[in-house]
Amino acid sequence: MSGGMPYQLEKGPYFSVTESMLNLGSTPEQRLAVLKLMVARTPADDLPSLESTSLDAGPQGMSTADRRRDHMNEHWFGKTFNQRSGRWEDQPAFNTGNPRSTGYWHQWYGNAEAIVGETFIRAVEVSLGLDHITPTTDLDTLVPTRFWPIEVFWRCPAPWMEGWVTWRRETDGTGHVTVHLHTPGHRGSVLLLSPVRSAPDNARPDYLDNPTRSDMARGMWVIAHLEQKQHPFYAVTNPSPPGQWRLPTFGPFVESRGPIVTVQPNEPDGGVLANGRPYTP
Amino acid sequence: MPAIHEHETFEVVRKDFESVAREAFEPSDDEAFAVVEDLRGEEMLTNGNVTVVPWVYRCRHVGDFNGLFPTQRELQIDGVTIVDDRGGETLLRRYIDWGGVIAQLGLDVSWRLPVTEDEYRRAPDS
Repeated sequence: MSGGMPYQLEKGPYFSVTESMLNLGSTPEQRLAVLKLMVARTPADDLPSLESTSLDAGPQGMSTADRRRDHMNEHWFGKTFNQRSGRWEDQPAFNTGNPRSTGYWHQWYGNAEAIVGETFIRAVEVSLGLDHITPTTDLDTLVPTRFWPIEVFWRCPAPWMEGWVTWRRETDGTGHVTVHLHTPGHRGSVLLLSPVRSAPDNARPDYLDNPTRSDMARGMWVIAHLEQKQHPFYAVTNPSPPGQWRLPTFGPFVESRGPIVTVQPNEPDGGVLANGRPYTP
Repeated sequence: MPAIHEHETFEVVRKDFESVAREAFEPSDDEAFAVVEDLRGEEMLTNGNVTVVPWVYRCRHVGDFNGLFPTQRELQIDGVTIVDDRGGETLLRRYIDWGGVIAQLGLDVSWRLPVTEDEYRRAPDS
């Protein structure tokens, strides 16, 4: 949701704020309260994150909480706002005769809101050391046994949407949870052929070519060849004698070339600020 | 003039296609390669030197096609081959619906266009 998303992996301002929101107050009770809201299927508009004023300087057209919520509901979840009722309505049922994508995803239909919601419910449960909540669970009896930090990444493109929750517990009992949201490509999205940005993007915080220090609280580095060169596929329509042709490749062949570079993307491109972006309700 | 599927040009086209594609796409039966049905009764599409053969190939995906897992799926490959006998050597141009093959195999695309920095800057903010 950072706008351009020129890389394949992103955290960016939105998921930085989501992480901050989940750590708000640095108490498990605060996060447990958010979990209870999610389990109660509170409308996404009423969940904390996107209203954070620290996002007001975000991508063009996303400078208000309402705009950001519209983006989430319309583009991510495929909902339509009903002016008459003043409510967001779910997308129509899938129509095989006229298939329409969910939201702004390419060639994919599904319940994105439910996937994202269940992913975050599971992630918070794991982070608090709670068994998965069922409809019979008495929420008032839940007692967190730990308070692991949660990190969120968005990976794009994928053939369909998936949420992944992974965690790691260390021998001393500390640990962390990592959420991966895998989504299809979205309308108008691209990938930069080189991870290296030029001015003015290479001056945005906290972009770095060949970063060397890792003493900041947050970090995301991409390591790749400097350049990805696309070679057109073999044209099977070229005239040739009988039997002298070959099966085509699918699209261009990518040749990654040049030196291996390490880049620390700027935050609008999906990277992170050195100390993250705070959730500011 | 014989119908197109009875002409020797059809055999040239059939052998040309199968010689390359058969290993990956096994014919479903002895008549897997055929002229498109609604042209069976028509005269050849030719001016005497250049002949157009619109064909279909019903097959099963059993072998190596770009390193894909052989799905064993039955599929149909559509194509048009232009046989050019104007010179001393027969030359073929093959217009084959590989997009249809890709779709039948269930391959999808990422829908994210790789672009250069300059192209990226020219695009509107999404």
